[in-house]
Amino acid sequence: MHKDLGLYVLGGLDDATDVEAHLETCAECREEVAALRRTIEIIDDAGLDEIELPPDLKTRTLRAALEGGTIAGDRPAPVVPFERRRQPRANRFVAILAAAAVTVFAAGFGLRMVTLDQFNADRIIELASPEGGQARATARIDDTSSGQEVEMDIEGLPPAPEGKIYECWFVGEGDDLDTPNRVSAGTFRSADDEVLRMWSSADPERFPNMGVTLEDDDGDPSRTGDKVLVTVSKRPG
Amino acid sequence: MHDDTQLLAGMAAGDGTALEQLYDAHARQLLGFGRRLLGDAGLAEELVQETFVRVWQRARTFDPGRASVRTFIFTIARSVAVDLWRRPSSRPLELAEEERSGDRAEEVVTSVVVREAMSSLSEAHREVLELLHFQQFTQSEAAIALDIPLGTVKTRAYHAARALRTALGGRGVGA
Repeated sequence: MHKDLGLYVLGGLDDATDVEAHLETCAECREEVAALRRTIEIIDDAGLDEIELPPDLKTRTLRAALEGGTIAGDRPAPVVPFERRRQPRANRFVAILAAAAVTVFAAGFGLRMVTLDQFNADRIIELASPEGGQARATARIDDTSSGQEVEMDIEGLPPAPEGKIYECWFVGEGDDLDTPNRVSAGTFRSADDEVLRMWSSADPERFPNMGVTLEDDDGDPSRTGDKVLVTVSKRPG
Repeated sequence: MHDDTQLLAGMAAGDGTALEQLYDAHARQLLGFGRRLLGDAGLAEELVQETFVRVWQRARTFDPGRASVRTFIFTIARSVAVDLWRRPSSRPLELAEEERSGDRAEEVVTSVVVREAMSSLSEAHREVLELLHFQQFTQSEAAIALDIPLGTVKTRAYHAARALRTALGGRGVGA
């Protein structure tokens, strides 16, 4: 039996000339190749390649890689200290529902016209649920001389429960509950299918990431709530 | 659109976008690789996730002069598969909803039998079939990914194809 028949049938040979010349003269090898080919056809016909990627696998994978995850899965939940130092809100931004702000109705026609301001994103940050949930967001950031203008399009985030608000943040390296390194970009209660627009003077070098947490609506400006959206990827606009 | 080598260079510089593009280009093949090698849908997803974590972490070590990006990725995926093989798992390969519905009954039966036959092969035979046939690796690429000599790829490919034929025949499928 010719030594290259396996590679020949499986397609791993760079040059099949030698095998094919041999097959012309060797009936035994021709029969063997035919039988092995039928085997390969059977596994091809079985549709083993017809696999759909689970829609959330990409988010999970990117998060695990970018946040230093491992095969063991998620990191342990952060411990919330009983009493936390209150931080002054160094950067106070106005979050508005941009859709409401920029939508006008053409009088007399009932025609909805969207007149979004010219918005040239310099950077785009993708956010996703850290728990593998459905919520995700895309933040488009325009770096201007006075700071950053942000449009955030959020999907799959239910309205905040009674007594709670969502808070959007610019997040720096090493941030955690014990050593916070983040500044607020504003709060909102519901953003599904809406576009939030925010302004910030946060230094993008120092606070390169964004996040959203669910906070008690108690006036405490520091972060005490759970993360509902975290940065999973960044790219130029 | 960048080629894979540029994406690896971007990843080495910490560009998450490059990782995302590499995922888009290779995740589906890796998931198929995982399902055929591990016979378990959940483990296959873990293989995809952990492979990209390691590729991200090791992007700086990639040497385009030694191997292609695809070989680099599947070499890592294979080592992840070995780690996952060692993990006890009792979850059977789950059939998709569509498969359970019976609309494609005959195809499903064949598919299940073929998966069983594939699962009955040795790891070494499954790996070489997977890389050469499903991932269309060349002999040289497979030798690098499996870390075996070229000649061993040759003999293993033949014995793997024969073993698969026997396994299918034993289940009433095949010539």
